[in-house]
Amino acid sequence: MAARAEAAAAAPRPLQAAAIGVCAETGFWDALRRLKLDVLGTDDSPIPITGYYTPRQYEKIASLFRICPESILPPSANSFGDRNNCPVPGTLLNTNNMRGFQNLDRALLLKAEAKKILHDIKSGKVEENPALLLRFLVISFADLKNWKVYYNVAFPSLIFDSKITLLSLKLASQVLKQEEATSLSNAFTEWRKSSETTVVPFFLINISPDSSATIRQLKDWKACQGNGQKLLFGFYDHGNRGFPGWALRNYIAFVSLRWKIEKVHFFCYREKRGRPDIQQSLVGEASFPAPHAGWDEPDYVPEAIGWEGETAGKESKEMKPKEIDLSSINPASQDEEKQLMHLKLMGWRHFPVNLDKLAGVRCLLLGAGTLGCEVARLLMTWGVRKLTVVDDGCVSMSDLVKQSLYTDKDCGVPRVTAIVPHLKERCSAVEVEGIQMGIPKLEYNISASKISSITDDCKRLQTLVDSNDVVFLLNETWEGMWLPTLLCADKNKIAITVLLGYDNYLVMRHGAGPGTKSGGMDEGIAQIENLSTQDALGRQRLGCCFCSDTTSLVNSDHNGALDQQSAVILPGLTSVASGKAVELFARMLHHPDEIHAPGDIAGTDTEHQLGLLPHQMQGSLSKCVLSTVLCNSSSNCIACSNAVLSEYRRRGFDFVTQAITCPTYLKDLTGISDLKKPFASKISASIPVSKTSASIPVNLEKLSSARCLLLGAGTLGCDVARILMDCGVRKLTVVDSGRVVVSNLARQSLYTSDDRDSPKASAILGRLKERCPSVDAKGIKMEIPMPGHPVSPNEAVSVLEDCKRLQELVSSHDAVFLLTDTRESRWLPTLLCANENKIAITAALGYDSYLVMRHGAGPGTNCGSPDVVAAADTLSAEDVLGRQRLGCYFCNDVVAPVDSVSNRTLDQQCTVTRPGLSSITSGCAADLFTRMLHHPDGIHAPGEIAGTSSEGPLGLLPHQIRGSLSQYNLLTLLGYSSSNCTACSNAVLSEYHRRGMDFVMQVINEPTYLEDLTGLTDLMKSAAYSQVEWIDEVDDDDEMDI
Amino acid sequence: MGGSTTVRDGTLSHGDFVASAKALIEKWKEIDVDDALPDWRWKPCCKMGVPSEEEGYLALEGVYRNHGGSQVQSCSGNLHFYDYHVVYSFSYKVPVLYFQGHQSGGQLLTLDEIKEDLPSLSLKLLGESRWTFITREEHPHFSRPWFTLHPCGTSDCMKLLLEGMQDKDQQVRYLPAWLTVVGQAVGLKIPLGLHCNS
Repeated sequence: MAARAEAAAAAPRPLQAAAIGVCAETGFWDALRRLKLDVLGTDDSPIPITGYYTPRQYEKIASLFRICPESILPPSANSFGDRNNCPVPGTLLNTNNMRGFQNLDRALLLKAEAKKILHDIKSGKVEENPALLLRFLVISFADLKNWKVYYNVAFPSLIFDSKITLLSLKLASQVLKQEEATSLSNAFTEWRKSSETTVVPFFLINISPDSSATIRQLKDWKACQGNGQKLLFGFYDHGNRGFPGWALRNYIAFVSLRWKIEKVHFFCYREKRGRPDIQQSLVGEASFPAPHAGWDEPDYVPEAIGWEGETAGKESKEMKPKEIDLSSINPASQDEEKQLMHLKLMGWRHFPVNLDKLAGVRCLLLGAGTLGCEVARLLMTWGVRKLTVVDDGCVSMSDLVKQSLYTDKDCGVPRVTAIVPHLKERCSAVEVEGIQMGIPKLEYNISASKISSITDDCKRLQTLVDSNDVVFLLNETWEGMWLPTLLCADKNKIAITVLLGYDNYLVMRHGAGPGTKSGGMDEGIAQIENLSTQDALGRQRLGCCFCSDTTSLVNSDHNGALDQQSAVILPGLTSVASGKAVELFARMLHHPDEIHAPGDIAGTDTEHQLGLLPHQMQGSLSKCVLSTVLCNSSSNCIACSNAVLSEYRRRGFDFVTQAITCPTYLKDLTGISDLKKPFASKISASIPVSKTSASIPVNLEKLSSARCLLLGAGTLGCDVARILMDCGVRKLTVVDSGRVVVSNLARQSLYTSDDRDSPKASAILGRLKERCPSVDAKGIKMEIPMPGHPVSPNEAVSVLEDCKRLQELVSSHDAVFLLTDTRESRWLPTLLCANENKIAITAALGYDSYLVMRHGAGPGTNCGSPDVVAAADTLSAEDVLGRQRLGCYFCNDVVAPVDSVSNRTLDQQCTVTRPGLSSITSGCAADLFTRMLHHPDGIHAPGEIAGTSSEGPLGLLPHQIRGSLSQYNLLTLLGYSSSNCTACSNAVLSEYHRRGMDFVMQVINEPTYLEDLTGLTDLMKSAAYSQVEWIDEVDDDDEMDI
Repeated sequence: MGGSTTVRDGTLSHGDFVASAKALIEKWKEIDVDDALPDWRWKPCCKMGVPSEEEGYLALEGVYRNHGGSQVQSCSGNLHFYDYHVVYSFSYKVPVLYFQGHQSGGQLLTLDEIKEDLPSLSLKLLGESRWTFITREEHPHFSRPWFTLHPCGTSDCMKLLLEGMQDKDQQVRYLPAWLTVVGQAVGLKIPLGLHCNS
C-alpha cells in the first residue's frame, strides 16, 4: 500500500477517484412499492429521498452508501442520522413502465442534478449543508405486478473545461508529524462524538505551527484564515484503497469555484472500528485551475459523469440496470396483496376503493346454489373477507355446469360443506363459514310436527342476520325471502335480493327499516303508532322485494308450480344478475348513507365516481333491456310495513309461526284483503319478474355439435366456457399463452390454488371436465400474433407458425370467441373469421363498461370473374346472401391496432375493471351466441334493436350490446361494415387473399400500413368524416316506474 | 435477591437486559475482535419522536462475510452483509436474536443463501439442537419479517449454562453467555475476551 502511494506521488496525472458502491436495501424498494400502489398511482414525478453515507469502517472493504426504508420518508420528517449514517439528499425517478425506464435520458437527468449541485456551490448553501456535494440520483421501474425493481444510481460529478490534476498523494502517517497525528486523531474523536458534527462529511482541518489540530465546519471558513497554519480540506472517504473516494471530486470543485483556491490540499478520512485510522487515511494535493468564463451564469448547465458503473474517460455504454427481487419479502402476505392489487389500481385513475371497509364487512349469503357460488366469488374479488353461507341442499350432478365452484367430487356433499374449501382455495385470507339450514318459508301446508324445528330455524336465522352487516337473498323463491326480509327490516340491515325468471331478472336493495317516533307509550296497541313512516334519517323508506308484489297473495294456490318453474333459467342469466348484485353492494358500501341512500334512476347524473346507485334493476336477457325502478315502501307490504314489524316486535316468533302457517294472516294484517279488487287491475303491471316457463324447445343437438374456439382463458374465458357448457355446448377449444397466478384465483372462476403456475390452456381442461365429463375440450398454449408487437428475425419463424396454426383453428371451428385483454390481439382472429365466414363474438371490458358484439359475415363473391390475379374485383360489397354486412369490432375505428401495453401505466396494462363486470359480459356473450345459433340465417342474421318486435324464437338478436355499470344503461347498437375497416374490409381481405401470411407479418411489424391500405390515412387527411359508412342507431330503453 | 430469583430460572429481567446490553457495548470496544465485526450499538425506540433510552434494542450491523472464496477480498460483489438485533421479549423474559442478510447491492438473502455462509459447526448445531432453530418472524420494531432463533428454549438452556455460577455473577454473565450460544448457531464468532473480567 505504501509503495503504491509513493508511486502515485511520482508525477502529476488526472485525479482518479474510487466509485461509491450503493446498497439499496430491499426494504426501501418495498416501501416504494407500497407508496406507488397506495399513494402515487400513475404519478411519476421525481421524489426527494435521503441516502446515508459513511467513512470507511473496515480495513479490507469500502463502505457502502445505504438507501434504506427510512430513505423514502420526506426529508423534513427524516431525523435518522448518526455517526455511520450521514444523511444525503437525493432524487428518485420511478417510471410507470419498463419502456419509460429504458427511454429515460440519463445524460440529461445527470446534468440536471449536477446543475443543482453547482447552484448550491455558487449560492453558498453547501457551506451550511456540505452533504449537498454528494447529491445522488436514482432512476427505477418498480414492477408491481412481478415484484421486481430495476434501477440505476448516480452520484453526479461536475465536469468543466478545466481538469482536476493530482499532484501528490501519500498516507497521512507519512506526511504528518507524530504530534500532529495524535492531535488530529483526538480532534476526530471529538468530531465523531458530537451528534451535530458527526453527520457532516466535508470539513476543514487546521494544523497550527505548534502541531495542534482542530476541525472546523465549512461555514467557519473565514475563521480558518491565519498565519502559518496548514489547512487541509477533509472529507469522509468511503474507499479503502490507494486513491481517494468519489466525494473528493465535487469537493475540489467547490473549493476552487467558491473560494478561488487553485491548489487544494485534501485529507481523506478513514476509520477502523469506529476510531480514526491515520495509518490508512490519505493526504494529497490536487490542482484545479479556474474554468473559463460562463460557468457562473445563472442558466449554465454543467457537464457531469457519475452513473454507477460508468468510468471516467470512457464513453458511456448502454447501462445495464440492476435488479432486485422483492418476492423474498414477507411471502405470507404476498398472496393477499396480489389479490387486492386490482382494487388498489382502481384508485389510480378511477375511484379509491375502501379496502378496509370491504375487508371488514360481514356478508351473509342465503343460498349456496348457482347464485350463491357466483356472488361469493365476486365478493371475494371485491376484497370481502368475511362470508357466511346458508343452504340446506346437496350438490347434484346437474349443479356442476351451473354452479361455478363445485366439481364432480362434491356430488352428494352438502353445499355449505363443499363451498367452504373452494372459496378458501381461491383466497386463503377469506374467513368463510357454512351453515346447513333451511330458510323457513311461507309454506301453508306445514304439519304440526314441523313447527318446533321451524321455530328453531327462525331463531338461528335471526342470530345470523344480527351478526352480519349485509344479507344476500339468493334462495331462488319468493316464499323463502319473506322471513329474511322481515328480519333485515327489523334490524336495519342491508338486504340485496336477486330473483331470476326464465330470461329476466330482478336485482334490488331493500330500503332501511322504519325510524322511531319519540314519546311513544308502552302499551301494545301503541306500538304501531310508535314506528315512523320514514327511516331513521327521516327519509322516505325504499321498498323491499314484496312491496310491489301481489302475486303470492292472488295466486297462493299455485305456489308449488312456481317453485318448479323457477328452476328453469336461461344459461348466462346467473352471471349477469350476480354481477349486478355485487356491484350494487359495492356501490352502496361506498355511499356515505349506505342503507339510507336514496335510489337513482338511469339517465340522471351523479358526481360519484362509481356512478349511479339504483334501488331496483329489472332486465331481460332475451329482450336486451335494463330498467332502473324506484319504489317506496308500501304500508300494505307483508314483510316490511309498520303493521308487520310492530306485530313481530310485539309477539316475536309466535307471530312468525302464525304468518307461516296461516294462509290469510298476513293479508288480513296488512289490509290487503280489503283492497283485493282495486289491486286486481295492477297485477300484470306490478309483477317485476315474469315466471313464464320456456315454451320454445332449444336445439340441443345444434349446440352440442357446435365447435367453439375461445381465445383467452382468463376472467372472461373461464366464465364463457362454463356458461357455454351450461347451454349445451360440448366441443370447446381454448387458447391462452399465460400461466395461472394467485391474483387469478378469485376472479377467474375455474382455477384453484392447485393450478398455480400451470399454463392456463391445460389447467382449464381439467376444470371443465370436472364439471361436465362429456365435454370434448382441448387446450392450446399459444400467443396470438398481434400488430404493433414487432417480430425479430429470430422469432419470425415461430410467429409465422402461430399465425398458420390460428388460421387452422379458425377453419376447423364454427364460432370464435375473442376474450383477450388487448385491442390488437383481436385483429388477426377478426381477419381470419371474416375470411372464413365464421361466427366471431367479441367481449371487451372497460373499467365500468362492456361491449358484447357479433361480427358480421364475410363478403360474398361476384360471379363471372375467374381470374385469380383480379381477386380484388371478385369480392362483393355484400355477404353471400346479398345482404349488407354487419360491422366488426374494428369498423368504427380510425386507428390501426398497435401495441397498447408497453407505454401504459400498470392499471392500464392490467385491465382494471369492476369485479362484477366480467360476469355480466360473459353471460351476454354466451347468450348472444346461443340465439345466433338458433337463428335460421346464422351469421347472416340482420341486427335487431331493443324495443322492436323480435323475430327470433329465442328473443332479440342484436349486433352490439353496450352496457355501463355507472350509468346502468344497456344499449343495442347496429353498425355496418366499413370499407375502411382495418380488419374486415374488402381491401384488407383482398390483400390477405393475394399475399397470405406475408401480409399478416407486415401488419404485425408495421401496423400503420393498414391505415394506408384501407384509405384511413387519406380519410383522416381530408377529415371528411361523413364518408365513413357507419350507421348508428341507439335505443335507450330506460324506464321509470314509481 | 429478586434479580437472582429471575436469573435462577433461566430468565432475565428487562432492567438487567438493558444494563447488560450497555455493559456489553463498552466491553466490546476494549477487546480484540475480528476485523469483520463492527461495534455493538444501542438503538433506542422513538416515542412521539423522542428517543427512549429504556426501550430499544442492541444492534450489530454491517457484519460482512466473503461469499465464494476469500482470495478476492476487495470485490464487493462477493460480499454478504449481516445485521444482528438483540431484542428483549417480554413474553419469554429472555433476549431474542433477529437477523437478516443482504448482498452488497441490497438484495435480501434467503435462508438457504444464509446457510451457505455458515461454518459447518453452525449447520450442525442448527440441525441437532432443540434450542436453536431458525424461524421467520416480524421484527418487533419494524414491520418486516426477519429471521430469528425462536426463544422458546432459551430459558431452559440458560438455566443449565448458568448453573454453578455465583448469584452475583449471573446478571452480568447472562448476555455474553447467551450471545456465545446463539452466535455459534448463526456463524457469529464471539471473542473469548468478552467473558474475561476486566
